[in-house]
Amino acid sequence: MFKNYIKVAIRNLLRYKIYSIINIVGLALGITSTILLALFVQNELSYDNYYPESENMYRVTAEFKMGNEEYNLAVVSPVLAQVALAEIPEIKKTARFRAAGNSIVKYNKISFDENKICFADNSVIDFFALNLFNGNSQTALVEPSSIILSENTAAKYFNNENPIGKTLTLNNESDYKVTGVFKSIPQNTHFDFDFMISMPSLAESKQLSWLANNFQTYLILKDGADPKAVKAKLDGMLVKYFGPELEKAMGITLAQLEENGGGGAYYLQPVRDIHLYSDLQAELGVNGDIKYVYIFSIIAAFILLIACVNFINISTARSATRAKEVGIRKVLGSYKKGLVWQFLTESFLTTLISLLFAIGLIELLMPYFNNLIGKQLTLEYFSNPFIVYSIFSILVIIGFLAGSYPAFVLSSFKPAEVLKGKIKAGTKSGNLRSGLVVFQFTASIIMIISTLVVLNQLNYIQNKNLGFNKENVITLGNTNLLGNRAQLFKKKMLQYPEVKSATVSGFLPVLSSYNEAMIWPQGKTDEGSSIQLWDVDHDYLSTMGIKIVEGRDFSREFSTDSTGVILNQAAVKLFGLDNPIGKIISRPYNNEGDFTNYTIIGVVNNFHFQSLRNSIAPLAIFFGNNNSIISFRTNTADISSVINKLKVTWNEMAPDQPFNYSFLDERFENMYRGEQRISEIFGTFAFLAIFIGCLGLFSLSAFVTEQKTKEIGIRKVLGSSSTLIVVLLSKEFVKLVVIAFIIASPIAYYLMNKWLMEFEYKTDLSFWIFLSAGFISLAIAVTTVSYHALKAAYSNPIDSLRSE
Amino acid sequence: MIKLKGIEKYYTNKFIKTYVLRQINLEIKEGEFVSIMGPSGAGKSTLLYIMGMLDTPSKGEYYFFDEPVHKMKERQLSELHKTQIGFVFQQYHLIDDLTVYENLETPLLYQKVKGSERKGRVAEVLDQFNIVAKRDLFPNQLSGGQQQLVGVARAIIGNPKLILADEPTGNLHSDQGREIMEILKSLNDKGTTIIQVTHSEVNANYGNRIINLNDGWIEE
Repeated sequence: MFKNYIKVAIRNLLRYKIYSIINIVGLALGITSTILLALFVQNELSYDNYYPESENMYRVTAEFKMGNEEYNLAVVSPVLAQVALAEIPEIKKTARFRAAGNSIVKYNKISFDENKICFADNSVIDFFALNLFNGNSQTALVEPSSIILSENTAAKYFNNENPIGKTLTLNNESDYKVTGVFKSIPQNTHFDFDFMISMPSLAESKQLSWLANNFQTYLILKDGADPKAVKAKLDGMLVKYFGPELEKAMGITLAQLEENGGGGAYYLQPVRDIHLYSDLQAELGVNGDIKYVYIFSIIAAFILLIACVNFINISTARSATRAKEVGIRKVLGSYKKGLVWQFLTESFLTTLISLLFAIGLIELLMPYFNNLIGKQLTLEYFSNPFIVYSIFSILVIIGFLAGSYPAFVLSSFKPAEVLKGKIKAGTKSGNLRSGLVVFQFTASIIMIISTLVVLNQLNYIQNKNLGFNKENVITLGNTNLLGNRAQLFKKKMLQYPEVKSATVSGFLPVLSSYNEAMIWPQGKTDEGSSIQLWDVDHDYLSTMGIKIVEGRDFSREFSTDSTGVILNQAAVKLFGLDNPIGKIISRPYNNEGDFTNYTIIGVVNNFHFQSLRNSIAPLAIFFGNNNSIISFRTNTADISSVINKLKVTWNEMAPDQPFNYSFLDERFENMYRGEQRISEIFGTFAFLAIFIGCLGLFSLSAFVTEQKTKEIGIRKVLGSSSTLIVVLLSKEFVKLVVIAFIIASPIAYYLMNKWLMEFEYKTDLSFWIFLSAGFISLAIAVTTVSYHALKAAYSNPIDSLRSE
Repeated sequence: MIKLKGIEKYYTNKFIKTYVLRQINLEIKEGEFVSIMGPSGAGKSTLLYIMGMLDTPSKGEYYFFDEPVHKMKERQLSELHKTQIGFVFQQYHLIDDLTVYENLETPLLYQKVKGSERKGRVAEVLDQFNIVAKRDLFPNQLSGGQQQLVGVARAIIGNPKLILADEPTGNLHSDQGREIMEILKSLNDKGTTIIQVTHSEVNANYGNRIINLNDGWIEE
């Protein structure tokens, strides 16, 4: 019997090729999208899951509130780990990281600018299941001045030599002996380091201060320990150790701080939750966001549903062609159940074929998808059982989802009616089909609107007046390697006419290094606030194009400018200064409470030095000698010649040191890489959704046209114009798209309004976005439908009438 | 074999009842060859479908070998026409996607006849109807007469006690029609009960009893 079903199914697929192709292509695309998105979601959910004790692993995070400032830190004091291990019996083990930022790493003549460097306790090797295949995992990071490397890095510096015992030099000053090589850290880990330096190498790690927070600190709790109890004990340590230090340094007790609405607390964050739920200061990498996991899961489900809808619509619309067979089979003694199984067999067969195509398509598209999501996912059918499960469950789900309704409709035909020819093609379930088409287009239109809104916001960001000029600026990093010759380098470059101006500084008005400390208006320590402090030279504001609204820039004519400060408007507002010019700001220079006074010489406008997600923070700019970056404003289109000159000068002044330049506008755009990515992913899948929807529309319109052939013939004989025929055939579908648009708009408005909330500076959800989304989908739908409509309208009416 | 008591069939449409069959009382004995005649729309086909259990009467009682059909569930009905009744249609109604062989095999599949026996039965009827050469062709590769031969072959392959034929020769020209009627006649001679709907006096004369239907009433 089953063989009989399969035979009929295959012959049917072959006989109605167009419909079969549409079904299979639609389903294959749907399955492809779903599996790709599922892989992404699976990867996001798999972070930090693979350690032997991952369910007992926590990171200690800290929250401090002082005055208006609130800090949510992924780092705590260096001493916390040691004291907690000694005082809290529930803790089994601890481990610490201290991110080390950029360094120039050198071996013999080879040197690279590296940024995946940290200091680490030896315990991280066990903690995070580092696979130390060369070296002793018990001792590798115990001795000061030892370092372990990832295997790729080891190969980069040492080729085929055995790296153990070799010496690497960091920043031309400290030597480290290689004591181990570890397998590269799996991509689904919340940190990624190529170099781990033994913690005892870092003097700061032995500090006993509870006020400085720079160490990522992890705990493994004993089985059955209650993390809440441990958190309470950590808070107890805060009172015991942090409190007295605070009083000594700032003159207020913890109790007083709490009275003023401030305070501090420690939290335990499950390590497995870091990637998707944590967004604190001093994270070890860019984390994901559970929100996008939800969004992509929903998109995957919708695309799959849209593809299923095609299958349902095509099968029910064309049920008439199968009605006779149903009647005959019932006459010959089939039960209804047998017919249901027969049609399910057909939908399973179609799904299976689509699945095979989808698997091929996935193999083909994987590199592009990886590029889109910025990961390196692979399809490992055998080592990743998830793939096998998901493929199998997709087969079952689609087979039933797409097949059960048509099976139910078809198998319930009454033989007496179909065999007497009473059932007209597709008369049943017409409303359902319309409903499903509306669903398909609603989902597609929501995705189109979302894509347009995201693009619009990105466009807004790019064109926003930032308060500084990000175009035509080349920045050169590592210039601290030049030491006090940085200004000389700048002068040499200024001799070229292409370089309009240049500045030596430590900070850029895009996400770069970060320096925050407490300052206060003279004599008012209680009004103090921790804000960003930048060190720049005379030419910073002019080179960046930052506007001065009051007072003046640092100037060579005033020798006193080393004790001058320029505030931005937000800082002026924060400290409540009227007529700020000439007022004094105090800045501490050590931990003993000693400070220097600075005179305010100017105020700059609020330029955007952070992401537009945040409002503009207070900022104080000092005249200083931080020389880690030199920025050049150019006035030529021939950028490469400038870069060449930079390189020549660099090799002259800093031979064998890595040359590292970037463009300010590119660094600016990198801040929005996440949004960019979302818009690309959204756009891609919105396009797919609408394409699959249109495939369905195409076959439905073919069906309707087929059904109305006779009517069209008669109308044409009676004198109807071709235009009227096209209108007649298209208007039903246009109506459905319009309904879909009406449903989709408020939903999209609600969702995108929520998304835009994340931005402090944002575009409006303007009317034209919705209109153009509606227009786009309508245009696509009409184009799709008009193929058959035009064909029918221009056919010779006699042909259609004769064939009846 | 068949006993109909007060069978009525009507459709209700906005409070108006349209009658198709009225007060049909009828008994058909095993071995009869009955022809149902009457003008178009008289209810002939409906009566045939009701007797074939493909349609349900609105009212009345139907006994098949003294079993009350009007009280049966789908499964029992299906069991009955699977084993006891064969159908022949005016439009042949073969399954387009199956070959002649597969069409003939289908009823046996539904009766769960074993593979070897199935092959034997199909070969037998192919032989009997002289269509062995056509066994691998699809219905649309056959002439109308050939299709109807397959239709009749399919109807008898399960050895039914009753054959219901709805204008079996309606779409055939006279030579082909005669051939089909001869076959039906010979089946009847071997003991199969046959009920046919027909417009043709000639065809009706192959049988031994004529029932006239007019506006849903029997005029015997």
